[in-house]
Amino acid sequence: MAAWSEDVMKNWSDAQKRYWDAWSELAKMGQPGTTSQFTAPAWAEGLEQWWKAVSPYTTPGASTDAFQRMVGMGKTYMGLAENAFTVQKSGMTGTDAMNAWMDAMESGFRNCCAQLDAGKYTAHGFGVGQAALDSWQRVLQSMGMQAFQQVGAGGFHMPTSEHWQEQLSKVLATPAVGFNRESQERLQDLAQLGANYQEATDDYLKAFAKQGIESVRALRDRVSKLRGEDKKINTLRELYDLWVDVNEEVYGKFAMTDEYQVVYGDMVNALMALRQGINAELDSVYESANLPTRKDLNAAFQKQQEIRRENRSLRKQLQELARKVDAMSFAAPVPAAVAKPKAAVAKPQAAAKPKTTRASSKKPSAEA
Amino acid sequence: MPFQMRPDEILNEVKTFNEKLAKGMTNLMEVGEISTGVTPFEVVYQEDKLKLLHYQGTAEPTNKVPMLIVYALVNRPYMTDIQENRSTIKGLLDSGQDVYLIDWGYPDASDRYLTLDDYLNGYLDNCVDEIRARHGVDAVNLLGICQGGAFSLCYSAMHPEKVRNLVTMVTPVDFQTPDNMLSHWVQNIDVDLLVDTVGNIPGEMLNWTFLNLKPYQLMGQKYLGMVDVMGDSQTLKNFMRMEKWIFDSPDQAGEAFRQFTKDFFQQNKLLKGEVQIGDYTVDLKNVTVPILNVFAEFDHLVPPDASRALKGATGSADYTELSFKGGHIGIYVSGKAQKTIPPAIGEWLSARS
Repeated sequence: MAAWSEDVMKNWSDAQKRYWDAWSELAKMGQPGTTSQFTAPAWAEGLEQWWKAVSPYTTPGASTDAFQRMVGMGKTYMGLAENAFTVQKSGMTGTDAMNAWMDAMESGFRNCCAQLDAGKYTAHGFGVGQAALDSWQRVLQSMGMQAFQQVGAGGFHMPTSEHWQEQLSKVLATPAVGFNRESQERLQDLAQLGANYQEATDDYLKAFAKQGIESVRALRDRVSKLRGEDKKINTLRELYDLWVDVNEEVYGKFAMTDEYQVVYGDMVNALMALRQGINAELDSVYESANLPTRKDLNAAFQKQQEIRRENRSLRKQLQELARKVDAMSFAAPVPAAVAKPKAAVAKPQAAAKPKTTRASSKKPSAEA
Repeated sequence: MPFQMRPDEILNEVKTFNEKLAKGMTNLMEVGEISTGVTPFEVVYQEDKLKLLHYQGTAEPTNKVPMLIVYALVNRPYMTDIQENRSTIKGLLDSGQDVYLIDWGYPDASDRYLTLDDYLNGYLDNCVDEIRARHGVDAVNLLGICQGGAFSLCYSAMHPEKVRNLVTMVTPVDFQTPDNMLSHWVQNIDVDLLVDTVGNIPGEMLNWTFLNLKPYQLMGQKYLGMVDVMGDSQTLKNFMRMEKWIFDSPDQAGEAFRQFTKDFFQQNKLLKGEVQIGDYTVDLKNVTVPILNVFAEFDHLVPPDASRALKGATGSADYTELSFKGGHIGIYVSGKAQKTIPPAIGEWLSARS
């Protein structure tokens, strides 16, 4: 991490001021309809550049993670602003501009579907829903499956082949022969699991894209309703909130359908099957190198848990016995000739109340 | 036409957004350590990764029956004591309760074979015994939160003699109400394959699932809204505190997760009286102690109907419902909840202890 300084922010602020002054001048040059000298803005890209410049100065941790998410959503917001700004500057009427924007979004989702159908999806075009899809990548990362993060983002597809899945299936169906037959079969099985995961991910993304199309339709309805009620959208933020609201509503219904239940479950199950295949392959390598396998570790952990349970049971029995001994000491008559000192008699009373920390070797500590 | 934005106004909004983001960045660099948990406590019992915390209020408890809070295994219990003016624990102490809380800790690979029997008839039972011994009482008041509420119900059914009163907060009882999104999704998950493959369930995976319940708001809109207020250091710090909690998700012990997901979510056995935990079959009719069932009207994780199902499901003749107009998290941290929920729980308990 580079050292953070006020200069970093100041330099950036100065550059920002110049940048926005230039844009303000441009905006003043003409009312909607004046298209001369107009260049489409690239604010989302600007935000990305800024984040690249300042992120080396941040400390990895919760704060940076949160800020990264803010920047991520900021880019989506900037994308929305770019679209809104562009259509407004292009001279369209309010209605045309809004329709053009919604048409563009719908077209984007349809394009996603088409790419997925063709087996060569390579874009990230889910707008406000992109964050939801990106979070799946974090799940893969947390499970040590970084190699598969690109699945669903075009990584495992063969862009030159329209029928890659069909061809892959043919390859995988080739009979394994020769000395390495077993190993070849295992690898074929593993490749098939990879292809299954790709297919399940595609189905999930396709369902998401279809929901995007549905959201645009719902937005058209909502806009129409607003028009009927003579209500206005005066700010970019209002437009964004409306768009999120509509998306959430459509998603909420979609997520409760049988279709979503299937694509969601299939994607998770396919990932697990793939991961299990990889685990088995790794275990066979470890075994051949005489190293402990996952199976060995699990057996040890299982045994450890059994010992814990046994310990717990024994502890309870000991406590019960101690309690009984205490009670017996209390109840037993003390012969006058061998009467014990008072302190000794008093002891069982204290012992009758169980002590505090018992189950662990660690001592109690005060914390706040 | 509703679309009334002028280009210069759009430009101005974008410019303002960038300025706020930059200012927020500076504040973020100065935010320092994000503390959570504000009420002093003493660790009075430990077992493996579990800690039993005893909270210290500013005055002596007026209720002589101690209260044990049983939190869920997912997420961390400091949500109940997240900051000075947002603490359910503090509110309960102020209402005269003697408050204990179980911190389950962070399971690692060696905890993969922990079962619900280990959690409930092992850890939880040991904590209850510890408190009973410390206070010389036969039974304690239990307050179960979310999954911890389901655990508390099971425990009360298995060990009714050790529970004086039961409070359930945002607790699912019927896991298959038509509006339960989480339950709907999980029906097509091969839980055996999942647990057999990964062992413990990664917290990141749970986060993904929870955030996907409302992805556009929770992964997008929330952060945009934050940009508006992050110029204020204190607000930013509070936001970061919540962020820390949301993403502070312990992994789930594999076997316990397997049983909870299959028996509770996929087969709804709690309501059917078919959950088997160790040597016990959990029959909610065994729960005859007074019950206060607290739920949130706008809970997207545990729909209110999932909690309302408790009514009539137990053998208790003293059943009370407390409905809160808020969400699953708001019920602990919102200003409105602070004023109403802990005092109401305290009053209800004190009247019965």
